[in-house]
Amino acid sequence: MAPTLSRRQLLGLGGGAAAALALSACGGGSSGSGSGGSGGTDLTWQMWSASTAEVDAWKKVADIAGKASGSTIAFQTAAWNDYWTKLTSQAASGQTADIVSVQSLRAPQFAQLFTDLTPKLSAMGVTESDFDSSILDALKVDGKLLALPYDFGPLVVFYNKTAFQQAGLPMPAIGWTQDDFLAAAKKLTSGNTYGFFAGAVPDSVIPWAMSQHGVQAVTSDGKLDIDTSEWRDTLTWYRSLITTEKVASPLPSAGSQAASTNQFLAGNAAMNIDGPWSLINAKATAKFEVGIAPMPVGGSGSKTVTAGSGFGVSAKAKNQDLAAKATAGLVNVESETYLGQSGRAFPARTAQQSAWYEGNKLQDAQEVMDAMIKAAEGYRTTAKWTQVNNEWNKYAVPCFNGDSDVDSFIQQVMAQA
Amino acid sequence: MALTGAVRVTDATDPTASPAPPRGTRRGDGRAASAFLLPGAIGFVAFTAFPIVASLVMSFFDWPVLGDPSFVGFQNFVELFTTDPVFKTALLNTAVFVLLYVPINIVVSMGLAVWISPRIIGRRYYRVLFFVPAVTPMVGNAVVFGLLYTPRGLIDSTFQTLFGVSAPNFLGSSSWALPAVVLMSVWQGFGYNLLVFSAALDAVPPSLTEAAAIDGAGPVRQFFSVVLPLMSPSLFFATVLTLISSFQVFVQPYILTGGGPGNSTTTLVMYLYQSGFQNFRLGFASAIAWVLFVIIMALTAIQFLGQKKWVHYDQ
Repeated sequence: MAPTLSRRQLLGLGGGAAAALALSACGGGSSGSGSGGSGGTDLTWQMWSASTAEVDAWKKVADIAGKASGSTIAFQTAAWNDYWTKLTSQAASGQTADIVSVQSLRAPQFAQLFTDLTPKLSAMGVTESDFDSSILDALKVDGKLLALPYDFGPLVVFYNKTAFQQAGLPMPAIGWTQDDFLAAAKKLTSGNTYGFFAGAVPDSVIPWAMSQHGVQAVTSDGKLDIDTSEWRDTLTWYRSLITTEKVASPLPSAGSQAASTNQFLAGNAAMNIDGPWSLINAKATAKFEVGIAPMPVGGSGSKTVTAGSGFGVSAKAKNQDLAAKATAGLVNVESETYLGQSGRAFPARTAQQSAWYEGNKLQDAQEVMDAMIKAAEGYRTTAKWTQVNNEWNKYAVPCFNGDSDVDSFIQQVMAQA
Repeated sequence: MALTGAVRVTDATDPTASPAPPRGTRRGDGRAASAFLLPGAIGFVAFTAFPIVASLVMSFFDWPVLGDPSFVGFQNFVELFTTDPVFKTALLNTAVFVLLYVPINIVVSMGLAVWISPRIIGRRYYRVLFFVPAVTPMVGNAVVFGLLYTPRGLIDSTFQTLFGVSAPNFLGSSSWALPAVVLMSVWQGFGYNLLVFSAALDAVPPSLTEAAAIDGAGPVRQFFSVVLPLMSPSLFFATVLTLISSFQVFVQPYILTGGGPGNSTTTLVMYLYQSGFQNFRLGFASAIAWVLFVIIMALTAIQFLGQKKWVHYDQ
């Protein structure tokens, strides 16, 4: 005879089952976020990405690195902005992936997360001189090599070749000066179209300060210092492009970091400052011919900064040696050639840089790139660079638009030192 | 009435029970109820109670994302109210936002609800139309408004065509940015209250307004003396919820202005986010969260105390 259940027993069983389900759901969530050692993978690697095509490219690189190191690498990803929030949350809970990607500008901020790769380099089969020295230096903090670079690039001037041709202007070439820049910007400004787009982020101004006065925002001993006569001069000049020369549009808002690229691509501004990582996309998107030019020569010459990204081993990784070998695989010759040819990165490995030019028909950019790489310094930042960047972004808008002055801008940004 | 019914049911299910059974011996659905409540209780403890207590604990620590926390007592709170320059601005911005947003939201949603309350043609479609912004993602709305507000955007182009002058640089100007954020928020948020008010208006018995009309009251007098008092529970509900949500404003300034220009649109939740996830000061961010919590609790309590004077629950 089948057992019969009373109403109470039935209710109790139902409630118990629901509770068990809830518990198992909670348990599943927490174990799923653990890293490494499960699901047949040896290592986990986290990296930002912006499209399915990028995810596929990174998965291919993970395969190359897996084969090279004899491991299986699970790829985890998030969009650029989310990546840093996720990395922060994971770091707070002590759960980062075994291999962590980091941008050079944020390296000082996340330095504690990484293992020093310097003593491991020979075991990893890596020779430092194979990589561009400026980006390798930018990924070092206090002499500790946090990550191996996969890409890098100098900030240069992107320009609208078609607009230059239509205005009868000579194309900007090596040796063009800041006077040439201003003259071109004036001629290219008419109605709602401007000659230049002034950005509200440090990246947009630092190459100008370097070319005019040879100074970065952070001194060579790692201190934020824009409270100088040189910086005051550059900021006043930069601000005048909007307020008095009127060759650049007023900044639309502090939240629009992509505004510069968007306005350039839309044809609303004929020149802006950007890096080679944007060049392939710019050429594919713009309805005009895109060219790149070196920074115009100022009082200190034609100078710029390089920034890039790389992969490091998490200090929490259980198998440090295997993670280090796999990291080397992510930037080995095969990976870098593939990334260069497919346009995903301007390779940090100097010998593989030709793959970027040849694979993407960018030979015309090589002369400018070579000159600017030679004239570039690694982009120096501090551990509080995110704060500096945010405050810069917020206070540059009223300052550059003419609603407040350069001194109060400097004071606000320096408060983040 | 309901209580009497419940007693009767209890009596009926157990007619042999003594009038005052000793505690603990009576069989009930306690265990089954506990089992059913358990999933919800686990969720509440894990995702609500624990984070609340944890954030209170964290607010007394210097808690960096990387590295070890150290106990600092009330230092985070002291810093907020004495030396921190941004907190006061964020507090002021939030107050201005609330003072602008809540009345405008209530007036707009009430006005439109009254407008569509008679049996006008297409009334249901208007309701849907007005509710659409409330159910579209805030981020998407903010991005679209960003494009409208930008120089050479739709508003600027319209200004240039109609008046021959440029519109203000809404999001790039310290004086225009906050009103622009409020305007976008009102557009996004009025639909929800409109539905609440619309339902409340439908529930007003026509006999009462008709009686008032017979007594000589015009439409305005009818609305303020008859309809509005009858709607007061809905108005109270809408005001409380709108006030709470407006104190928590984050997405609009985050997407539209990044808190700028300067700190002119940095709100409390935005500053909390910046402190915790950009400046890596989790203890400091928790302190901001608790100040915000106390403000919202206090204002909500005041509203509940004040409702006796103007909210009429008896029909």
